[in-house]
Amino acid sequence: MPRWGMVIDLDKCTACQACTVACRVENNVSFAGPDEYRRSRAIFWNVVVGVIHGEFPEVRAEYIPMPCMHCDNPPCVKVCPVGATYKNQEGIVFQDYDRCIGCRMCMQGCPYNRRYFNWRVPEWPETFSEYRNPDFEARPRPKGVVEKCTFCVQRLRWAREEGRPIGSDYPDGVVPACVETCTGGARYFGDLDDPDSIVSRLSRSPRAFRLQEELGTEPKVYYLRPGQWTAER
Amino acid sequence: MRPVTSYHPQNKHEDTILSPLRRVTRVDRWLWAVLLSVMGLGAYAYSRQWVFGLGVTGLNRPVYWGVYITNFVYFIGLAHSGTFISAILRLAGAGWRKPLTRAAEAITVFSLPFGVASILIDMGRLDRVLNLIFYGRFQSPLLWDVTAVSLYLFSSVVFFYLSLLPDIALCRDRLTAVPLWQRRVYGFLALGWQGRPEQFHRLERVLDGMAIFMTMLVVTVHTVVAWIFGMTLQPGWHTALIGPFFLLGAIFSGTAAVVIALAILRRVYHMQEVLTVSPFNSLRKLLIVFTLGWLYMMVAEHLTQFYGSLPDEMEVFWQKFTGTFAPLFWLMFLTVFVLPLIILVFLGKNRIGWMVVASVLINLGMWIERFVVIVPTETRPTLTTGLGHYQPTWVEGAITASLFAGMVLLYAVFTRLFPVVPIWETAEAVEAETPPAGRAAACLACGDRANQENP
Amino acid sequence: MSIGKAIEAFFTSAGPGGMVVITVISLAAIVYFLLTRWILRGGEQNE
Repeated sequence: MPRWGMVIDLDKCTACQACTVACRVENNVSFAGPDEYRRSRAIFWNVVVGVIHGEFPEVRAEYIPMPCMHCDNPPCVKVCPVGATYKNQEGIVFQDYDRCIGCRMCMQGCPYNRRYFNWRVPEWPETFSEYRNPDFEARPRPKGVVEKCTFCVQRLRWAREEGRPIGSDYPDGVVPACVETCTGGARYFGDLDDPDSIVSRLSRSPRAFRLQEELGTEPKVYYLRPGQWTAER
Repeated sequence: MRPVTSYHPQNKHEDTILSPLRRVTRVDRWLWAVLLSVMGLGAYAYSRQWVFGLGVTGLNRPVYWGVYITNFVYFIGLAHSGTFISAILRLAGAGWRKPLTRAAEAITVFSLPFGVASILIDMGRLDRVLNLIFYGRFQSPLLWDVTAVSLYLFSSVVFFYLSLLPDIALCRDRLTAVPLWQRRVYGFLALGWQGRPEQFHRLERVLDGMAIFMTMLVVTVHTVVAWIFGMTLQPGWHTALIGPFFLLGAIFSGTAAVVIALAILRRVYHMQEVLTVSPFNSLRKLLIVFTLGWLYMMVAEHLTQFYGSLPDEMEVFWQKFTGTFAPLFWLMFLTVFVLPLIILVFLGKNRIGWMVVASVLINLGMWIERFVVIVPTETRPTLTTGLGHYQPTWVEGAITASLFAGMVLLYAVFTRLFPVVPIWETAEAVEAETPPAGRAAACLACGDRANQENP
Repeated sequence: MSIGKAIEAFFTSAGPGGMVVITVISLAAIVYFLLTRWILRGGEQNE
C-alpha cells in the first residue's frame, strides 16, 4: 500500500498562489465574497502563508504553502465523535461530508488549523459554473459540515481507473492539482514508503523539515528549507 | 385498595411553605409572559441559524467556538449547585442544608437541559445528532461528554423526583382547592406514596446511595466538560489543571446561584421563618472558601505559564492580561474574586442582600471566565498568521437570553406547583421522617379515615 | 486478536461509543425503576 506524501521546496516557491487557485477549481471550494472574507470565513484548502521575520531593514519574508498535512497520527481523527474524519489505508485523512455533525471538534484538534467549516450555504460566482468539477468526491459540501484538503483523492481514484501512474516520479504521473499547477516546480507528490520515489528521497534531505514535528502528529507534508538560493546571493 | 391520603411528618412551617402553591398571581402571569417572549425571540434567532447556517453568529476562523459553548459550560456548571448542596453536603452530614436542598436541586434540574440545548444549538448539523449514537467513537471527549451529561441529567431528575415524592403526596392531600388537573397530576406523580415508616426508611437509604453516586457524577461531568478543551493541543487549553479548575468553578458559581435563588424565594414567598439567615451564613463561608480556591487555581495556572514562558502559551497569556481580552479578563477578576471577597468577608455576615450582590457578581464573572478560557486561546492558535477576533451577533445574544429566560421560567412555574422547601425533610419529629409507632399502626389498620381525622 | 487491539478498536471505531451511551442510560433507567419500586413497596403488608 502506498503512503502518500508531499514535499514542498521553499527555495523554489514563488508564492504565486497558483496552487491555491488550482485546488479551489479542482475541488469546488466555495467563494466567500468580501463580507464573509472580512469575517474570516473564507475557505482555502491550500493556503500560502506569509511569515515576516525581523524588522526593517533586516527583514526576511517566508512563504509557506500549506495543504492538509495528512498526519500519520492525526489529532483531528482522534477527537471526532462520529468518525466523520478518518485516515484511510493509503494515509489520506478523509472527511465524510454525509456523516459530519458540524461540532468542529476536529478543527480544534488540528494544530495546523487546516480545516474549514461551512458557516453558510456555499456559493460560487456565475462564471465558476464553467469550471465546476463534476466528480462525486469533489461535490459541493452542504452548510454545517467541515471540509479540507484531500490530496485530490478523486484524481488518485481516476488515475487508477484509467491505469495512469501516480506521483511526481512519472512524466505523466497523476498528482494533486496544486502539485500539477505549481509554476515553480516546487511541489512533489508520491509514495513515501517507496525509498526510490522523489518524495521519499527529498524527505530525507538535510534541508527537509516538517511543521510542528515536536507535537508527534507525523505530518506527511515535508518542506525543504530555503537557503540555497539566498546563500548564493 | 389504595388509601387516598397518607402519613405526613409534622412540620410547623407547612402552611408557610405550601402557601405559594395555593395561588398564581398576576405578577406571575406577567413574569411568565415576559419570559416566554424572550424565549420566542430566541426561537426566532435560532430559526435564522437553522436556515442560513452558523454564519449568522460571530463565529469564524479561528474562533470556531464562542458564546454557545460558553453557555454550555456555564449551564452545566450551574447544575453542580444542586448536587453539591443535596448530595455532597448530605454525605458530609451537614444538617443545615435541609431547607435548601430542593431549591438547589431545582437549579440543577432546570439548568442542565439548557446546557444540553446549548451544545445542540452549536452543532452545524443538528439533524444528524443521532450519528452520535449510531457512529459514536468513544475515543472522542465529546462522547465522554454525551455519556456523562446524559447520565447526570437523568440521575438528577430521578434524585429530584424521589426527594420530592413525600411532598407530592402532601400536596395531593392538602391542596384541595387547586385546579382539578393539578390535583390529578399530584395524584399521578405521588405513585401511591403512603408515608409508611419503611417507605421513608428506604427512601432515605436510596437517597444516601444516590448521593454518593451523584457526587462521583459531579466530579466526572465537569471534568469531562473541561476535557473537551484539555484534550486538544491548543495553548492555554492543554493543561492538566483544566479539569479541577472547571470543577471548582462549577461548584462555585452553582453555590452562588443557590444564594440568589433562595434569597428571591425567601423574599417573594415570605419564607423568612423557614429560610433563616443561618443557612445563608453557611453558604457565605463556602463562597469565601471557593473564591479563594478559584484564586489559587488562577495563580497556579498563570504563574506556571508565565514562568515557563513558552511562546505559544505566552501569546494567549498576554491576550488575556494586556491584549484584546484584558478588559474582560480584569472585569472577571474583579467580579469573581476582589469584590465578592470584600463583600462577603466584611459586609455579608447576616446580610442576605449583600450576599446576593456578591453572588450576582460571581455568576456574571463566571460566565465571563468561561468565555475568557475559551476564546483567547482560539484567537492565538499555533502557527498563527493573521490574528483572530470574535464579535458575537444578536443571534447569539438572543439565544443566550432565551436560555436564561427558559431556566427562570421553569423555576418560577415549579415554585407555584411544588413546595420549594422540602417539608418532609425539615419536619420536627426527631426521627423526622418516621411517625410515632402507635399512629402508624392505627393509620394502616384503619386506612385513610384515621389519617384524615387526625392530620 | 490481542486484547490490546480489541480495546483499541473499541475506542477508535465508529459505533461502540454510541452503544456505551445507550447501555449506560438504559442501565440507569432500569436501576432507578427498580429502586423506586423498592422504595414504594417498603412496609407493604403482604411482603
